[in-house]
Amino acid sequence: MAKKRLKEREKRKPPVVRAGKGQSVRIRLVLLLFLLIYAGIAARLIMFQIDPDLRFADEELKHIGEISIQRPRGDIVDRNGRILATDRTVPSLWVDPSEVDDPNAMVHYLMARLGFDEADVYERVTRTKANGDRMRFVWLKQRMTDAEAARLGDINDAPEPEALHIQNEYLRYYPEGELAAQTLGFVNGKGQGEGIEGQYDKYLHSEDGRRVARVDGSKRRNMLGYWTLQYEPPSGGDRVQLTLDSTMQRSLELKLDQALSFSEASRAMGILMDSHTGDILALATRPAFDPNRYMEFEAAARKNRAVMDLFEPGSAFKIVTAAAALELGLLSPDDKIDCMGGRFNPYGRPISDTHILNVAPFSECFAVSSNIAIVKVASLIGPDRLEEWIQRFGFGKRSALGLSGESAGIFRPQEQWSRLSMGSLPMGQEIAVNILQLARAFSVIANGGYLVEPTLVKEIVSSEGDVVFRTQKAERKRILSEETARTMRELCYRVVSHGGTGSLAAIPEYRVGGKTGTAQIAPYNENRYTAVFAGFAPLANPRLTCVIVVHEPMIGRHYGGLVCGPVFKGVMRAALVQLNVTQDPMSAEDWRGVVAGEQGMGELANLVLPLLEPDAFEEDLDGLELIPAQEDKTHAGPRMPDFGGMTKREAKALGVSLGLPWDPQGAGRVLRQEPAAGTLLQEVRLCKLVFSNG
Amino acid sequence: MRRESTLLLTTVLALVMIGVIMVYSASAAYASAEERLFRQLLYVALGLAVLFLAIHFDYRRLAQPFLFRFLVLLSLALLVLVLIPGIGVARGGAQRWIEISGFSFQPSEFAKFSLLLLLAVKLSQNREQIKSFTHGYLPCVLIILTFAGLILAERDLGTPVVLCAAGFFMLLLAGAPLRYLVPSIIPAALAVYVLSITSEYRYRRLTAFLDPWSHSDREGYQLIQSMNAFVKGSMWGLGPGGGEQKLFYLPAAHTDFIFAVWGEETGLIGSLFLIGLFVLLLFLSLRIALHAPDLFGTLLASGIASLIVFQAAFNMAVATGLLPTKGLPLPFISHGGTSLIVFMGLMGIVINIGTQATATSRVRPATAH
Repeated sequence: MAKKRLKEREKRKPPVVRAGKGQSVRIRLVLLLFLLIYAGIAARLIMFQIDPDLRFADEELKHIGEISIQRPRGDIVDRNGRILATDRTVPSLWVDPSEVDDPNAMVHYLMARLGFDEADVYERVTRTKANGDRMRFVWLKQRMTDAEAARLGDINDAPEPEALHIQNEYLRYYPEGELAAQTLGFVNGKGQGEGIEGQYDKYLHSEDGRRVARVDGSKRRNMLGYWTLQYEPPSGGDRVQLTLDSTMQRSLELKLDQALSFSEASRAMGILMDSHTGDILALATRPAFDPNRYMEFEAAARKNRAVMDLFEPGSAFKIVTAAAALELGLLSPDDKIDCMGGRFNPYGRPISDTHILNVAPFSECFAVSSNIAIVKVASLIGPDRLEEWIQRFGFGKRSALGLSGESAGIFRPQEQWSRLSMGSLPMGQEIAVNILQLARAFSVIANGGYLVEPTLVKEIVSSEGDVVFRTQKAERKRILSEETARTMRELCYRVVSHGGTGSLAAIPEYRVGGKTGTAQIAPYNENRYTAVFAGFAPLANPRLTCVIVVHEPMIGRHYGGLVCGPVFKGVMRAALVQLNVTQDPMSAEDWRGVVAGEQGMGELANLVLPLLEPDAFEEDLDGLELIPAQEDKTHAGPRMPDFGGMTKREAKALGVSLGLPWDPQGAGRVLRQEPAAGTLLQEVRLCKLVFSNG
Repeated sequence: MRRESTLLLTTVLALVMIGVIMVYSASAAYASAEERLFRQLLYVALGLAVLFLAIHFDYRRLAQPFLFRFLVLLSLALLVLVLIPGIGVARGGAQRWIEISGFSFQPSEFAKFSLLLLLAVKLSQNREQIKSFTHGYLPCVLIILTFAGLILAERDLGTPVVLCAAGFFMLLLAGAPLRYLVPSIIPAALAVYVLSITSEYRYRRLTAFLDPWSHSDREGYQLIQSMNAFVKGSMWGLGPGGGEQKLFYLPAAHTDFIFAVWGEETGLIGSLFLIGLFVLLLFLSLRIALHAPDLFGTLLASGIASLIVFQAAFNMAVATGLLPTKGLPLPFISHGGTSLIVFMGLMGIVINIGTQATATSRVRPATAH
């Protein structure tokens, strides 16, 4: 059955058609044909190796790219590492015109955001090469400001985002604005600088490195990391660390500005220096400029006048004469000098005193800045030794700072002295100095007799972290005996404490030594003055020297003690507190001398009082509390004075000068006070005063 | 012919493996390299399934009227459907794809199979019919031209050329008289030429092919990059993955120009080895065709072999600058699902024929009855 069915199925099946001889031949033909074709391809492949087209070698060059490795210009930082000048990356916008298919849409987009001139931007986005092809790179806006970048927004919103590109570029940035502007200087677009920027350019300046490597074929030509052909590292860009302290610098600038507005002076300068090392902690000239916008200021405003300007030191110079006489043993502070009632004419020109004295000890003559006394002392020294001593104190020589434009001062050799010189030089006339020189001379007295070299740069560190420059302190040169220096400090203290000209510079917690100076600016008939106060503190072991100079203050307010004293006081006190220097408080008796000195200035002292308001600089100390370091809890510091019967103005002056927050009630004269007189000042939180008309 | 079948299977698997590695290597510059690798592996998995299905499916059942008619009609329907906007998806100027839930399908690849099947069935029914021009040769040519014409409408010139070539070889192997065949080449070549110069992009490709260096910015660029790959590959190549041309220099590195990536990374030795694999594939397939149990098997096996090897040769000739650029994938190697799966399926059919052929069953006269 099964067999039968199978047979039937076999019958129904169509006959099998098999391949014939023709197929056999043709299959071989096809095989041969394909073998030939493949042989041709193989031959082609072999030819690529045997005889490659030389143009492939040119093609290979397109596979090699170069990128520059950018390195920013070095930072300038203060002694605590706070950045004063740095390179900031700012976005720059460029267009690839070859990618712009619809220029009008692009122009519209750009104009709406960046406010370009229509014709100008159209030309940029369609700029062509000489052969008629579109360019691949045209700047649209270099170094956009934050506001411009914000207005531009995300370039991916552009009609043809692939045509727009943002590239970051470096821009010099001074985060503290005007702070220490003339010292820092600035850099222009060509990389030329002034100030520290210029002087230390060889360290600050950076050279981009470059890397040559094989690149991929994308438009960005990304480097193939594993295939670097050449590498040159970037160089330069060292970090310059200054000796400046930005907090002290700010405090100095702020106080100078207040003095400027008070005295309507044309210019004010100041320096705060470490008395022992010569490190310049603050160096300022006001008004200043903003180096971020340096081109908006005149060249004159950008000059570092603090080191360039010369001025007659006036009475502040008397320390040189006095120190020389003391060191030579010609004088002791208690020697009596006849000040001749304020009139003296030894060399054919009258010499007068503001504060008239007759016979008085030298210390008193010095305190009230008697010209007659100092000229008499100088005559004991004689011109030879006076010249030598002036040179010893470093006058007439440039400092080692090397700041461009720094002047050596004017000090003529003895051969060129006139008949009047011995009547002028001892009191700081016929000589012109810069502020550094004066600070240095006062530091000699402050540090116990050594001449220090002012320094501005602490060290320079390379990007790799190596110290490439460090200021080497030369061996300090003793020019004055310890003994004389101490005597001079006492004399300078009397200037401030014993009703002297420097009363407004007195700080209750720290005894201050200093000297005022007021000199006329030539031509002398125009009544233009320079007011100077130079000093140091604390007296027991001076840490800091400070010199304040105000040029051309308004007449009537031109005395050194009046204009410069409060600046000195504010700057010095804040600095000492910041440095946590232990207290060296004035005794109550001395403080009375201060008050007496202030009263001696009459109404002017009241005018200057606003300058003494401490709140003005408190804000800038970043929450640092202005509480001086306590020397000893049991030590009797300054005590609460008795305000009884004072006018409101008097009470305020006293309170403010003691740094007392006060709470006045009513008007008239003081009836009651709280806490009572004699309470230790350091324990007083608030001074409540009730006035008669309350 | 078990030995030939086994060796053929090995050859196909070797090609597929090379393809997986090269697709991954050529995509290295793209973030989606892994995704492409996994896709290719998925295609390989599907291809292997189809391959083993075909190996175990008696090829003679393909000749069943119901089945092959269904396949041919389905193929033609798809070729028409892909032309309808909304169903067909255009990429790079050509409308070749039908997309279904993330996976795209190329009807033209499937059409290769149905055309070969249709011709094999038709030509094996009557050995003598092909000798007649009107009843044998012309209908076959019209069938070929129908398929080619539909694919040409997709703005694809490469696939029609391959189809026509495969058809030509089928007719040649079926015993069509040379007096029909040889003159047929002339209008075909003329048509390709006319099509090349009437379309602007094809014309540009043609001129770039003739002198790539004067068009190195645009049309000649791809060709120069491709040839440069072989030059840089030198004798032993830069090593798998070490090529540079695929890093945005050579467009279509993972598809039409994958041979250049292979050439750069394995050198002349590797390129010749790959050519060797295709020659081996051709040799084994033709040997199987020679020993096939019937004419249908002979024509099907030799037709499939011709199609694959012709397309491979065409692709390699383009990559080496011997022929103008046509968008044709390198069988088994280039990234692309439909092509890989169809070609693996076709090889499965050949292997199936091989397992049924016997070395002793020499070509016999057709007088079996």
